[in-house]
Amino acid sequence: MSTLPELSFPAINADWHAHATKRFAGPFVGVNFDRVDVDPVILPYAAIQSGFGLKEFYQNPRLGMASVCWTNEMHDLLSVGHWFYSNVWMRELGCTLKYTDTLPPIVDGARPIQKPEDVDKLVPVDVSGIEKGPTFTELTSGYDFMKNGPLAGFFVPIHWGFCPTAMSAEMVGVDKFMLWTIKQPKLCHKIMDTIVDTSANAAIAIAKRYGFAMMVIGGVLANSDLLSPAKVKEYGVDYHIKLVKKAFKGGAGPQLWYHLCGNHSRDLALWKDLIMSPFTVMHVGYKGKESYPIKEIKEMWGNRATIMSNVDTKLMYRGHPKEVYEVSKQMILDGKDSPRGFVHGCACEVPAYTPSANIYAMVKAAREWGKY
Amino acid sequence: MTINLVIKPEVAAVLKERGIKEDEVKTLIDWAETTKEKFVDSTKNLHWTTKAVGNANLSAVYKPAGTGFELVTAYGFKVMQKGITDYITEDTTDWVYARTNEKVTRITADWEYIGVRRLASALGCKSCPTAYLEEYMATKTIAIAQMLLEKKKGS
Amino acid sequence: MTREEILKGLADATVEGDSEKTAMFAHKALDTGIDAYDAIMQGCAQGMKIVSDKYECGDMFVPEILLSAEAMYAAIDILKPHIKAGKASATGTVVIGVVEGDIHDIGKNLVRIMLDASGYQIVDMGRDVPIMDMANKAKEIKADIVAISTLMTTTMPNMKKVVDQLVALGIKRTTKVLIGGAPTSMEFAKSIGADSWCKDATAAIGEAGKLVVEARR
Repeated sequence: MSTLPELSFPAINADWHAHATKRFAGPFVGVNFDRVDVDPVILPYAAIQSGFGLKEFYQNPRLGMASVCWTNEMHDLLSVGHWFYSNVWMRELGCTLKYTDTLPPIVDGARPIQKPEDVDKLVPVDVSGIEKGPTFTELTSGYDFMKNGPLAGFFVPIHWGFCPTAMSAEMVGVDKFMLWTIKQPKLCHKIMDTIVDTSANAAIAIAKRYGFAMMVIGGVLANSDLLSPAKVKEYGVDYHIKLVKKAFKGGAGPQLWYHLCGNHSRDLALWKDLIMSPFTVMHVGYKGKESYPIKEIKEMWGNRATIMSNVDTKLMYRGHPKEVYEVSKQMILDGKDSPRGFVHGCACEVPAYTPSANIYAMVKAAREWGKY
Repeated sequence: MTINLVIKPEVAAVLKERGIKEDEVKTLIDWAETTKEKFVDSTKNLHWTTKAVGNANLSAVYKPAGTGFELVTAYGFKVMQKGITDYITEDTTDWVYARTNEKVTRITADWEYIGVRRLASALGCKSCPTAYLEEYMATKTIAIAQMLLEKKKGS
Repeated sequence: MTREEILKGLADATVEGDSEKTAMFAHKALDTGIDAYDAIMQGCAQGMKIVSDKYECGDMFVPEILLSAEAMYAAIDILKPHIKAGKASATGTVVIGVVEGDIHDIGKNLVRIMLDASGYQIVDMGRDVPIMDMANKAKEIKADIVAISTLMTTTMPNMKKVVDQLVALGIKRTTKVLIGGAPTSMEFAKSIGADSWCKDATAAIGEAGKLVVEARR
């Protein structure tokens, strides 16, 4: 192949994109367009479907974004493209990222914080530091490629803030951070303040360049499998509020996608205090081992935000199309009349090697049961 | 009553940039002082009021100065409040509602713009008739949202 | 202090996550002639059993477990040199690790702690463990169990490769494979030739017990 990988896709069908754009806008403008939109949270699945690997997907944001857009058309999904990974902005704080064939970029080698004294040296990265850093350079290379080329219609500048708790834990090592929440809570809060300030500055830098910045953040480590409800509030919810306030004050937003990954059986009610914007999507993963019931999410959040459903990612990877279709059908029937809109999705990003027939099963269910 | 309002040059420049007339602000503050429809932060000696004026809203933050007041900031926004949800969060502030001395917290309010109703965070209390949009929300988050709503409605 | 008071003290201090106390009770156990292995099994392990039960019903979470584990290891470090030969491997030997390609090790660490507390001799290979290293270590120490975990679907195929390697080394009959991790299931375990699956760290203790019996049959 002589052409650059990101240029190896044909032009997106304009008619399809125009139609998908109306469908995507529907929940946010109070209009029920033709049917429920489907967002399986496509990430490296797109690269695999397009003949590339995980490493290429993450090392080359242009390819990553182009493959997501192409896959969206292929499966009749969203009219917007996205590309992100969890350990974002970590290099700016002294971490080393490693790219592998099996995982999103991981923090590799010695952590910046080895001993309690190291915490004193932590300083948040300011907007100018973010703009000069490797993450922003990579991200904007991809965003500019989308914005200024044939994928312009797909472009939404996204600030991927991931989970402030998980990012803080990566600075120290997860086990040590967990222990410190009991033994050294002040240090944990200093680390979290640094992470949140850095992340907010990154959102502001993106908004400064592109006029706005959709914020994607979520409680990944801050969930009921790992932390008590009190600690989820202390190390999760409160820092989400701080992050969004600071980022909004700097011009980021207005879109907010809250992705509460993992099990939130004991802590979901605590997240009620999150900042809301007119374009808020609330996406909750699991209640115990099962997908969090859509009826309950609708009751708690339906009047306040667009809600997103949560087909179990294990089912997507290992289930049969019929199972995915049946689960999707029920979720769509439970959620499609949610007052502030509904999007049909997976509980987390769809696994990279998910059979494409299972994505089709989600879309087929939306076409047949999600009509408006 | 006609209040005495000091507007320093830097604040006047902000008003000009935002297309807000000084008389409109005076009228608003006059109304707030007469009706006590305002929030007060005694720790910072600040007053804050907001009111729907025609198809938009005007907010002003001001503080006592001499026999009158000094304007700290003023801003407008087009989304119209359609109600306050019963959601009173634990995110408290130093503001109190002047008519009842009730503590002001962050709430979620229902807003309408070009026929679209969406929710957004604001400040308020159970007895407050109006949700107050903070300056950053009004001039940044909501302002961009208004623009995107116009675009999405047109798509 | 009586034997019962010391053992209870070890258990309670483990639950409280108080390392100073567990160390103090460990010394007392040795001073009063309590068998070191018994002190671990009837003191610390009992404490960790309570911790495990509390985790199961949502009264304790990972930070609290790690604190209890730290307290347990403070006692074990003192007691272990005094364990009579052969006793530690009586319960079973386990090679544990996160499969090649994955680095998520919270679950694996919890399983290691619970098995350690249950008297197993553990070799923790860490995370992103090469398939060959896992299998070779199992052969080297004649492990009863190879316990492997993953959080990622992309690395699930590597679990099968570990099983295949144990077969290739001719030790699969005497070394049983226990798998775990969010995307796995008993059905998946069977499909790759693993012997069992555990949904969490607490369940791992029961499954490991059954597998050791099978491995030594």
